Amino acid sequence: MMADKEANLPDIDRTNAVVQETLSKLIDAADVTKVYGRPIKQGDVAVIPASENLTFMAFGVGAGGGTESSEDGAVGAGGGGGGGGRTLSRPVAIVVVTSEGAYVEPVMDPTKVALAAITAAGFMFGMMLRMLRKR
Amino acid sequence: MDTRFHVGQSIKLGDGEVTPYSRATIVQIPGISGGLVWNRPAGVLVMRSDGSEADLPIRDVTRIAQIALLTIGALGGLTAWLCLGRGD
Repeated sequence: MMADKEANLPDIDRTNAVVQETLSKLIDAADVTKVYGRPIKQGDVAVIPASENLTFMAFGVGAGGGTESSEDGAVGAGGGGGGGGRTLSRPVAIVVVTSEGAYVEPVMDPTKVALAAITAAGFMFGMMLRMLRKR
Repeated sequence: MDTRFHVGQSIKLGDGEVTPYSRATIVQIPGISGGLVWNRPAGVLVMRSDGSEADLPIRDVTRIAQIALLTIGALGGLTAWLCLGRGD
């Protein structure tokens, strides 16, 4: 009975291979080529864009089988899996190489900075109002 | 959790070579299939044909500004709490 159950389970080796392949793709996201773009040349000047990447993914697989066989001797089994992931990317700087030298030009995201400023101001004023109301 | 430095291939530009390098933080939680990779540029090494070298670090000014503003906000809130009654 147990042997029948194992025989009916989905191919676990294939599933493991898919898991390993997906994990290796996640590790590939840590490569240096993922944060630096291809150099763009214009005359004597070349620029290399640099960005920050945040990649995350999670997945799960499962399989199971029945213990009771039907009239024709077949044992039910099934399996499935699912997952998801995302990559967030944001420009950080541009490396400029000229015939006279090289320098890094930082890229500022004003929206993110404005949101941080609003959050900080909101927290300070909220705290002050709360304290003044208690007086 | 693991932090790794990756050095890229040198790129020939003009009379010199530029070698980019990055820093990646990999987080894998035991028991969970998957994980998180935070990869960011750390700097570039510029080598000129005359033998001079320059290491140019890449700083994330947006993140520095965000941290500075949020620290100011937290300190401002703490100051208000200390000066205006400590919640009494």
